[in-house]
Amino acid sequence: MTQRKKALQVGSGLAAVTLVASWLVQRPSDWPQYRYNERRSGDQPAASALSNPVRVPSLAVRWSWQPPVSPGAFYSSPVVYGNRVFVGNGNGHFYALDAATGALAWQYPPAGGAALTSLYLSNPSSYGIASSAAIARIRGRAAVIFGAPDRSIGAGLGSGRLFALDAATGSEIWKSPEVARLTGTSHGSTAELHEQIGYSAPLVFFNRVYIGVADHGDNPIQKGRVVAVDVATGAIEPAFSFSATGTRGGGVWSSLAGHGDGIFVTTGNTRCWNGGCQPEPAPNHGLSMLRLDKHTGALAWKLQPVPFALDDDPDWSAGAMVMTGTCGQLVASVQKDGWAYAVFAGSAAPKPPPVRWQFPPTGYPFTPAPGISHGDTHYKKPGATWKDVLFIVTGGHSRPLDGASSGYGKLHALNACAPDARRVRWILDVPGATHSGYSLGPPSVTGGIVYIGTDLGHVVAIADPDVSAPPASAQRCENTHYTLAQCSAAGYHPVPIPNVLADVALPLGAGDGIWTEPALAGGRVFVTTRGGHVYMLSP
Amino acid sequence: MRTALFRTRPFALARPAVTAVLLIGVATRCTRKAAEAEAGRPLGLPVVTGLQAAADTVKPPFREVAPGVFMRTILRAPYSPGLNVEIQDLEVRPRQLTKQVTLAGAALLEIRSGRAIVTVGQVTKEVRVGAIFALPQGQALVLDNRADVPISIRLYVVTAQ
Repeated sequence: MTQRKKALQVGSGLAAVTLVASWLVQRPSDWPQYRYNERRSGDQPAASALSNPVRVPSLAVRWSWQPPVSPGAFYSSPVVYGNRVFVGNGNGHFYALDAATGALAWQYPPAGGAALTSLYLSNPSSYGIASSAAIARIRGRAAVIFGAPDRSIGAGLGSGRLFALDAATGSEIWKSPEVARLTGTSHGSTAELHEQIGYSAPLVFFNRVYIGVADHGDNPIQKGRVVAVDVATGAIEPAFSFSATGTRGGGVWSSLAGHGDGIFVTTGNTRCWNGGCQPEPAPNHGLSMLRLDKHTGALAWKLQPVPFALDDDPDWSAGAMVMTGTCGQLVASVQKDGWAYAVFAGSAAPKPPPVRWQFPPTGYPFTPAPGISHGDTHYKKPGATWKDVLFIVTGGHSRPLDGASSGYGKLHALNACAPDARRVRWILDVPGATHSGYSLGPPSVTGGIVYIGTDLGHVVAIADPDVSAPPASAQRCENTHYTLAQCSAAGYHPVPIPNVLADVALPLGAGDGIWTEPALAGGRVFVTTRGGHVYMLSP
Repeated sequence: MRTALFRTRPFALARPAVTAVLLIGVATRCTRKAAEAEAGRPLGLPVVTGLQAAADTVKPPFREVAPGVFMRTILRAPYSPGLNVEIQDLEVRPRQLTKQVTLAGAALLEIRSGRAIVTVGQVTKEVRVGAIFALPQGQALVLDNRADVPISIRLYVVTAQ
């Protein structure tokens, strides 16, 4: 290698470091974006009282807060940066709170300003701000970025755009152009555009912000898209483009993940919507997990286990996450029908999806089978990863025979790098949940202790057996329709029932509960509720 | 992602029976006590107080009808005058070659998970998830599960009353 080439390489490396430093804002004890980082690992690596199994049982509520005016539901998760908690509410306001006390630091729009709401309401995500935020550094300032409807643009009905605010003061740094277009409010109209950002949280990745575009409750489905904007200005990046279908469908409801040169995306249904159906579009990247080129949006691989003919709305509502296991970089997620998949992250070169495993391992792509439906059956939450373990709610081994509800309320720990026969590490019927479809939020993990919120408003801390070993008698069959005595003879394995270190019932009203992720930052747990509360808990 | 319309494909005939079986399962579930969970802790890990253990539920039960072959009945109901329909589940453990299985009546078999080599009479073929095939009354069936995971099959068996 010549000196010139070496100098070029060093120069390129320095440029890359500078570029990274311009957007990367992540101190270990923060929780600066949805699922903690751009890989959406859901894993807080900093040791704290929350990762200490001796201290966790004393977990208790330290403060709670509710928006002072017209509190709506919290369908967005909190992010934490620099002793501030940032979260948007269904009332169309975005709030910054003091992490230690819960005191309101600022709100956006300021008091008296028009709330960020849509005139088209067809889904919980339609109400106010459902997009969790992300922290970035813009021109030397810490900024908080989120997506929301705004009636001051487009047709004036609540088209979606991205906002970047100064994290310290709440003042505007930039507002993106219209990202998701809402051109009418007639339910089911195919002549109007009913796009929205909804639940998708911005992915701040290198010098761009990526966001998914979906629809309002499939009334009707819209063409799913990924849009990228410049992190410094909010201007839409014309070089990046991705549409999931040629006609409509393939909504990007979830939050994107980034790793290397890849953007990892999951997409929604394409066949039917509330009021109509269509022939298979071309292309059809709906109901898929995808790897896109981060520069252009070009497709590298696509996993589409449920073919168009069987599309009964099993969206990938859960986003993809990238985990670094001893077997390589895996991209994992669960589809609404209860099947989870892990795919090697691969490279930007187009090729078939390098699938590592499916769970339960029934085989795929699916073919028409009257007894197995692929519908809107509520496996909508992404997992968390720690070491080689993926914590996620899935249908489990009993899904093929017991039906879609078989995994409701059950948290699975999966050995991501093990062979199929040793995939299940443990299973827990999480306490404090109804065990119906919406019973568990996304898990978060720190030091092998998993935190999860429930629909009955419990915050539950669960210890992986490597951290706190359950007694030998605390076992069950990995296939929950077998007794422990039958398990081995049936070809399955006994697995431990992990220790529950804490189960804190939040003082909620009737109908309140948790849909969102626990943010683990600085030894504290932050959760939001459907009833419009933010809670901070700590040991 | 729809909320207004909720569309699934329930097997309507099975619902009442399944509900009854589920209720029985819930009523008889095994609940572990926290005190039991404290026992037998290995050395070398922190001692944690305030443990709670989860319920271990099994519904409805399978029984081993031959080595490595498990069955359960989901539903037994009148189908038409003189006929009953039974819905059963059959699972064969990994690396298991079954003996000849003869069902109580004519049947439809639906592969719900896995794959296996199936022999019916003189015909042998590989089946995988989604495959459906008929088994005439009195015809023997042999399943060879050569995979590392069990195969799960739902059977719809029509029998004489």
